[in-house]
Amino acid sequence: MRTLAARLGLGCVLLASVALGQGTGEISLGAAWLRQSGSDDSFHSQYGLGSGLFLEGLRVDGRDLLRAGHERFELSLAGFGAEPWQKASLKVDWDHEWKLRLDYSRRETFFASPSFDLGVRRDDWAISRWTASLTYDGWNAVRLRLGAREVQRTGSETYAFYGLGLPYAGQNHIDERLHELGVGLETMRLPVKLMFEQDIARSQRRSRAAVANDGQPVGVTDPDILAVLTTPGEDRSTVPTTRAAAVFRNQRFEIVGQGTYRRERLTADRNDVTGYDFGGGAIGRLGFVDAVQGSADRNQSVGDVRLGVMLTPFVTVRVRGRYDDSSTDTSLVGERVLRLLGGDRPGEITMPVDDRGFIERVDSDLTGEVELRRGDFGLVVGYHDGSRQVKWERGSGDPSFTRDLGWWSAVASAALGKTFSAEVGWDDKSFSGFVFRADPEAVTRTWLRLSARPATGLELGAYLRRESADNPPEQASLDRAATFAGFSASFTAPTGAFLSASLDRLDLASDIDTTFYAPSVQSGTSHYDTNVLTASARGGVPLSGSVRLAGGATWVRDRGESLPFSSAGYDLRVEVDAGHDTGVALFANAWSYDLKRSDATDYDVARYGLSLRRRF
Amino acid sequence: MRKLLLSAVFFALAASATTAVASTLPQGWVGRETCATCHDEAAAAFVSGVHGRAIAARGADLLERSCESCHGPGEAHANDPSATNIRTLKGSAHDASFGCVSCHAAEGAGLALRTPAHVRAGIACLDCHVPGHAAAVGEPLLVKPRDQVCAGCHGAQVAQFSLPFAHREGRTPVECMECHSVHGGTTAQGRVAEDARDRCVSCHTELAGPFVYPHPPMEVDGCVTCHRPHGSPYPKLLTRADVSQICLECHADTPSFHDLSQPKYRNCQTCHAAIHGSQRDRALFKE
Repeated sequence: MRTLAARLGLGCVLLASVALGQGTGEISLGAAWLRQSGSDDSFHSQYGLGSGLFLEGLRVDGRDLLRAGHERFELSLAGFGAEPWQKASLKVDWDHEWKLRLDYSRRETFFASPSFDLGVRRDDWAISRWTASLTYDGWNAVRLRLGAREVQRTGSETYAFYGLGLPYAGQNHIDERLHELGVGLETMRLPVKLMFEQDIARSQRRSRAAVANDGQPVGVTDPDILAVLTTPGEDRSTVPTTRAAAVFRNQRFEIVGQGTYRRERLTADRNDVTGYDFGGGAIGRLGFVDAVQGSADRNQSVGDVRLGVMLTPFVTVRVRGRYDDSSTDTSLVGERVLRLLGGDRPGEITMPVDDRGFIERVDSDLTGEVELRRGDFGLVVGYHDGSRQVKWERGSGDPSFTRDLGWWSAVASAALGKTFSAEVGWDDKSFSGFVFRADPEAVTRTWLRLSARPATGLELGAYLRRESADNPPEQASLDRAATFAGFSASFTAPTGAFLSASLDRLDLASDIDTTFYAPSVQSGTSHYDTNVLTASARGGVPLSGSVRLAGGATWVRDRGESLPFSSAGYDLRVEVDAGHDTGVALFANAWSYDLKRSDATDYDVARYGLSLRRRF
Repeated sequence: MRKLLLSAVFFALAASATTAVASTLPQGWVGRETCATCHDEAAAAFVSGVHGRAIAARGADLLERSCESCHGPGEAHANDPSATNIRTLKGSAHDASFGCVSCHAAEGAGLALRTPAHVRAGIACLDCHVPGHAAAVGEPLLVKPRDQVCAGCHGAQVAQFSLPFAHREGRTPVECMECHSVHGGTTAQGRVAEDARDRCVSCHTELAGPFVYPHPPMEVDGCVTCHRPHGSPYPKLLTRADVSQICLECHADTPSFHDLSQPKYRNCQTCHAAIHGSQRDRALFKE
């Protein structure tokens, strides 16, 4: 898949270069080599980079090739080849009235880890996205926008599951598609700006499962094997969405109202079969058949009204109200069949299925804020009042929850021209009622942010943020604390040389009481502790008029108890302008990852190569 | 004689055009030409820049108003040049941004109301964008390269992209604006309203649901209940190193046969594979 995409991409590049040879632009093609020790799966799960040719970038300004009246024609591509992502975009503006935007992106995902699914898990899939929009701006009163979107996920995922008390492996071939069309209108000349959008999306999901690991149980030897695994069904959904907004503003008032209504209708037809051969098939076969039809209808209504009034040049009052109701009705009907073939007593047991359910979440919030601002000093004080109601029905014991929220906040900011600015903030939330046992009862946050530009080209920044959350012992004894702190400095010289450095610290600690059976009732604590220090430095310098050197390094170290690790990344790039609109760059990267608990996922990787750039 | 006649016609037409443009100016405005008599470098840079070209494409009258659209009526300043009788865009966030939102209404709607966090911090348009007569480093009219604009304030989030499992494209973090709408409710796609969960499922469409058997945290609090969207030390951007930790914090009612001393019960997702929601299984065993 990756090879095909690379060939197609590079083919497009070469064609574009030839066809648009009379335009203006730049193309940069590279080749990279990867040298690795340690876990290949681990590196590819984190970075996904490979060896081979790749397109570093292509930019074409093709206005001169087109008839007069085209204000913009820009084509850009990047990432095709030995990179796990690809991007392309085309921007065309013409007659001062039309705008066309076409965007394509593709991201490849690989994941394999010994800690997931008994080490069987292997994701190898990609998400491709196409988006297109055409805007017509030629009318006085209204701007029209047409949009289209397509998202695809294709590839495979290998997974483990339990059957007959043993773990077996299956592989899904993924084929998911979403298509969306939309139209939007935006008024231009009315005192109140109105926006309206109507979209309709259709999605289709067909995952085809198959037996993996030759049907053998994972990690053990057993005569009973997985013989059949098929999932011929399909999920389909249709989702029309209506959005509307109105905005009014003058020197003293601002009013924004917006609403969304979404109606999702899903049907899922399944006729899945799982079969196990006892004694390798010599004794008989046990089959499970799920012949069911599911449906889920979700309606979501969101309303949001915001009002701002500037009472005096120094005092502004804002009020916001929000309502969000999402409810889903579900049903599953059909039958489940247990089938015994061969052996002494073949037979079949059929169990009818008729299950219906309902889940609803209703959020409502009201916020009031007063902003005092004079020159470069500001103070915003707000109070927020909200509630959440959650109800779900599924057989017996239908739970229903109400959770109320009260929230004070204050933020003060100050600036000394463009030289120095500071922001300090605090908010304190208190909740009553719980939906989930780990929900907090109180959350407090404080933060401080400073930035300074003491000299031309020099920027300094620092931040500190602390958060704490808890809930009572009768709930889950939640006790969570987080500290984020960092410092950064950068200097850019008039010559183009730059140097930047940053140090960031992230401390997170959390304790939540747990209760489980092992096999008798036991109480425990889910203790979580991470203490990450990230240091990075970057720099670049023009060595002469035609040679530029740039590079950087990032070190990350987690000394927390949960899963301590250290990692590092380095990069260096030398660019040489060879004249005649041509340039050459040599680059090298290195990454390392060291998990303290195990060596199974550690790696050291070096990737180096060169790229050629040509302006045309 | 012919040249003289042509010149006279040209100047007459030019004068009438200037008069026509000037006559459309509001009371107290003087027009760009007048501003350019002193601020010639800024005026020239504006006209040749992206901002000026875009305005010129919409009409000569708009271009003539461009200086005062941001800096306010200039008659008093033209008569008595002083920093006190013209809007210098160095005042409060609201003052500095008012000129921008007079044209960019959709984005500006967010300035005062839709992005309260940015407003509280006193962030104004010109903290991220150049005014149009200065050289832009990134698009659209950004003061820094696109990937560094947010980093100036949001260092904690940027640092998380360096963690082993992060939302990256190879070496590069995913652009902030793919998920965040810095101007408020209007997203990069031009949509007027989206919520946090919508951002995730716009790419991860398989998790959009609805599900016949939803996992309630997905419906109530969304993806961030279990995942860290910027980056995590743990696989799948999870909030905990062990999957069972995440599950047990909510599920205090696990059946008695879940003997957690055995490895098979510590990998909850191996059995409950449809952890985001199932279309056919109440216990989320199968998708």
